[in-house]
Amino acid sequence: MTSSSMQANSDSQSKWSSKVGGKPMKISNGMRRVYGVTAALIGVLFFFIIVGVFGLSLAIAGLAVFVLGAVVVCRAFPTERAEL
Amino acid sequence: MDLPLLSAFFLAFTLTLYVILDGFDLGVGILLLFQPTKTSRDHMVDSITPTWDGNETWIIMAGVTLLAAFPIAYSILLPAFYLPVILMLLALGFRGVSFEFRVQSKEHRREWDVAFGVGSLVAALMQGLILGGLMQGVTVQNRNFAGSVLDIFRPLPIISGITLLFGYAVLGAGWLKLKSNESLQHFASRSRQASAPAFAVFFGIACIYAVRIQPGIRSQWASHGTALACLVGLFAIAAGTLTALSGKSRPALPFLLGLLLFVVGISGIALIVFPEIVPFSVSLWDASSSSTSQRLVMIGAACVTPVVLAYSAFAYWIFRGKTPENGWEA
Amino acid sequence: MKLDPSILARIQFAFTVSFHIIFPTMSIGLASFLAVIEALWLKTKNPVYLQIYRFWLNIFAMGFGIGVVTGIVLSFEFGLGFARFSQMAGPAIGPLIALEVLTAFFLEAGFLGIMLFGLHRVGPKLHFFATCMVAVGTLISASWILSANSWMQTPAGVAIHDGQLTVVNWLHVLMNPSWPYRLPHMLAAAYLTASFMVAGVGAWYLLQGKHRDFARRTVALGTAFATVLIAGQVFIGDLVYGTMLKYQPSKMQAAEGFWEKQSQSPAPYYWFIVPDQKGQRNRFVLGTPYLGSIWLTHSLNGRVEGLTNTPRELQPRMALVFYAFRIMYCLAMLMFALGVASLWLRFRGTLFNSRWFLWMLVFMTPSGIIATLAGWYVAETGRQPWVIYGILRTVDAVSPVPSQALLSTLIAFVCVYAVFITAFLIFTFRIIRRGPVEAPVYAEASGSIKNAFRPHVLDSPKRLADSQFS
Repeated sequence: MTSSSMQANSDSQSKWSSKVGGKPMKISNGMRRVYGVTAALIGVLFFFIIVGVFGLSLAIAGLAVFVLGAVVVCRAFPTERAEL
Repeated sequence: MDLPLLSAFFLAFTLTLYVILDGFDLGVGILLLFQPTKTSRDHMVDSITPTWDGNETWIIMAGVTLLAAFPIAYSILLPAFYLPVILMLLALGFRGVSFEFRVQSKEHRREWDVAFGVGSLVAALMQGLILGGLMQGVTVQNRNFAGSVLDIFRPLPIISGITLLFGYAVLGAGWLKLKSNESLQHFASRSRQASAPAFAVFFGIACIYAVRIQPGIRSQWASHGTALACLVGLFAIAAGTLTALSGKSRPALPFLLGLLLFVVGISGIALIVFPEIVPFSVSLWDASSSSTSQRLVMIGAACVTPVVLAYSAFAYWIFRGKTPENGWEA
Repeated sequence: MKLDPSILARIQFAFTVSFHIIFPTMSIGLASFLAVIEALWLKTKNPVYLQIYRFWLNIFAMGFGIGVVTGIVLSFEFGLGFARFSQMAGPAIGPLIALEVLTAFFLEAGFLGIMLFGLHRVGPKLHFFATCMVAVGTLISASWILSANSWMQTPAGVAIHDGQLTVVNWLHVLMNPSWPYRLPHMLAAAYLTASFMVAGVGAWYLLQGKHRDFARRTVALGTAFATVLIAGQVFIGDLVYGTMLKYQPSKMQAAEGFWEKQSQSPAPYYWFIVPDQKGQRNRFVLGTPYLGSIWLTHSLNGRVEGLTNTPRELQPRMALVFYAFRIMYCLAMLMFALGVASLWLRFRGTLFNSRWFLWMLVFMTPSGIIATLAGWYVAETGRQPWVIYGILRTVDAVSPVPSQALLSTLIAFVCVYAVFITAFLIFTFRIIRRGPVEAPVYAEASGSIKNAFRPHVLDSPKRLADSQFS
């Protein structure tokens, strides 16, 4: 698992510099892992919010923000160079 | 507004449509067992593939209408016909999945064709059995079924089963004449000439036997003798014509004659059964659910059925004419 | 040995309905997916979309067929196994299902033929309409049947007199208390099922390095839909939970694994229990501290109500409800995690190269089906001992049919359905192994009703070849 994620990371490292819309910036593997873990923790937080741990109104708000965020990410980071 | 009566009409309507529409589907399936050529079998199945699902849906409509409008009859009849209904459902299941599975499997197409044919045959047999069981009468006590699940395996239901088998074969043969190309015309004619007389003969035996064993039927003959005799006569004439028709007749004639046979038969049964819904113990009104339920079913039926018939007819029209030689994908 | 007919009737219904639900769940999801794909094809004219359409149409057709025939069984099985239930509930659920047949089944069936076999007979626009009608039909169908089942869970709008049920208010029957939440829950489950199926197969191809265009497109679409859907699903799931807590407290009590009238404070969240229904206690538990209070009472120290709050004879079997719920919930969390992961990987630009992620997608291909089944087991085993909650018990609802008949037909069902699912799986894997076929480049989307009036075959490869050189 570690080796494949390392592989993925180094793949993305080269991809990062040539990515459309991305900044050709060098990020160390350590930083990358911190970003990944942070993303995971934010995901967990969203899960707790959406299942209503902090109340219904926050759940609705959290759901809206999550869905909006997902739509934005999907559109802003197209998986094809020539998107539809 | 006699809601039970209206509901009964709708129920009869759905059953009639089912018997006619799925009748030729099952008929083609039965005839499949007698067709040795692979490409001809493909052609036969192709003729019913685009519309079979809609046809079969009418039996669900009938069953659910029974549940909604006459739940007492539903709760009596289904346990009474427990074994044939389940066998029919399993048979229809095999027939239904075979449509798709036979296309997917080139090596085992013949096996799936057998499943298709046997499924159609068993379904037809079971439907006839249930009809016969209905005519024979069902033991009811206190609005519940009180007989044995094996009561259905008696002479009248069995004869009815065989009758319906030949009846569906007649419809299937008529459909094939209408929809298939040159190569199957001869097969269609021969099937018709074999099944039509058999249908008539067994129908006759069933009628006579039914009168013998069920006093309820005897008394209906007594009260509606003329009407029933006319129907029997009409049946005989139509069956005779069907048998005697040459292979060169108009394409739609055998099919239409087959439909006539069924309409006549169903009318006769309706005359005999009415006003009971569980012959000869429970009347329509005794078996009804409350008016609020029947009213909703009637409103829904009145509004939606015309739409259903319209787009169903449209679907048939899209696939009109002779079935293409190489199937629908070519 | 005398077998209890009510147990046999229950097992038979449970088996047939569990088998059945797999297929409509797939069909509802795939039908809408196919509609989206066909819309994308018509809009972009990109042949990869036609490829995707034809590939999944094959699998959809098989699944739909099995769904239909196993569904017919159910409409009669009410009477076959549970005649007394049918007699009582017929007036309420009968019309609902009748309307389902009228407005949904006929719609699907009527247009399915055109959808599957009409690609050459009608223009692309009419064909797209047919696809949409099938998708709409599945949606309408789900609405009616969920209403009927929800009525069994939270009955409303009826008056009982002399053991007979009369409907007094149809709006209350249709929009009973649990329906507004259970319907979107089921729909989201169906769409999630399709999303993960589609993404999983695409991921498999990416891992093999085959059919790249097809695979990228389906993984992108599948994960995008799945991410949005799972967020909505866990939100709705919590609402369903709250509703059922109010109307069927015994179900949720059984679902969480607590026996005591008031659990300890703070309450743990149990992942694994060995319940002893006779002794009304757990022999062994494994849980995460605090999490029970957090998730179940939305506070840090709330107490959870246990199953002993319900009288013994009205208790559902805890083992069934608990584990069904855990399976569904854990899969939901896994789906959510994958959704978040997919967003992250998109952001980094490595959605298609991340091998661990792709393997997870492959592993999760059937997750929607398993989660849906588990959820239904929560719903139906948690409803026991009632068949109409608070009105009719399951044991009182059975048909006057002997155990031998029930047992023999149960065996028959198992054997026949085994054949169906084996064939389905074999053929599906074959389709996947073969991969998407090169789709013929179709002529301009000039379809109209006008074309439907011409009875010749449109766009056959021969005609295309001829027209290209004319």
